Amino acid sequence: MVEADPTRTAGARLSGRASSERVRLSRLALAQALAVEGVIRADSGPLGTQVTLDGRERLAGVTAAALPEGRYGVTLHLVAQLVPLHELGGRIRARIKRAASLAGIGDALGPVDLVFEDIADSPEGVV
Amino acid sequence: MLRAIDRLIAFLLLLAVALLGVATAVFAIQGDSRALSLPTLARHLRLPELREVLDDFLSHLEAGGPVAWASVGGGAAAIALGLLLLAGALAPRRERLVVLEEDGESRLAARRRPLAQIAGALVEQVRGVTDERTRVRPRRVGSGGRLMISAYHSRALSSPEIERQVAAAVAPLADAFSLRARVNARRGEGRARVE
Repeated sequence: MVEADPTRTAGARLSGRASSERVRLSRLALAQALAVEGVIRADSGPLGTQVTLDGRERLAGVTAAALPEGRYGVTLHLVAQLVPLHELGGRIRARIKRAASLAGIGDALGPVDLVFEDIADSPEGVV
Repeated sequence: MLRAIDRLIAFLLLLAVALLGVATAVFAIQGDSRALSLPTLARHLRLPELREVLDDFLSHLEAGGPVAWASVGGGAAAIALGLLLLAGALAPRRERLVVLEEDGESRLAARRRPLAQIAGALVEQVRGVTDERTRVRPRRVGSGGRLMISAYHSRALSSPEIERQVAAAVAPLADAFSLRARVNARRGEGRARVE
């Protein structure tokens, strides 16, 4: 019986490489979004499906999907304070874009979708 | 609503087909006219009597008259019902997100609940408003939607004035999210009477 070597198949190589870049982008986008004033936390959704898995670690509130042109579209699900969401979204996007460029993965960053899942008064209490 | 009816009918049909399949399988165990044979199943389901009723009905249908017209009505109703169910199954699902900005690639959106909360907070700031109910309904396609506000106020104020002030208070939010605001002010009852 011949067993296929998973490390030698093109699909596995692609999957492994793509996964690491995808996870790096997800992690970076999440960290940058959470650092913006007005963002309280990320939210994985009512069913807990809005996550990126990195081994055993779950990056809650962020997903990244591969696009045909080789980039990754990132979607962030956030809980924000009662602030103008338009400007907040602009600040988050600018920060992610800058950080991705500095990290050398700016070319892999595609569109950044932002979904405000909830509004909270403070980090402790969600309205 | 139509989608829910679609799901219910699909579930009931699947259940019926499954039960019929099980019954057919069980009654196919034996042959001839024994207890677990298909002729016995047909007798249990009264299929011979049904055939007679159907023959009678078809002969009346061919002859014309009230039976034929009732059949035409029934057929038309069945077609209308089928079209409605088809519309329920194929119509685009209402987006749960209200899109604030969509530039072709990326989009900025918010769920209905936080938007309703923001609108509610803006409405409560209007002097004279004692209670409020806000609902956001996104459009099925594209951005924007409807913002429906019920504002309760004390007897000292007039409803048109409250409606004007509430509409002005939520205007920045409605404009930003392309929401069409509809304000309905009314005098509060019970706790909603007191500011």
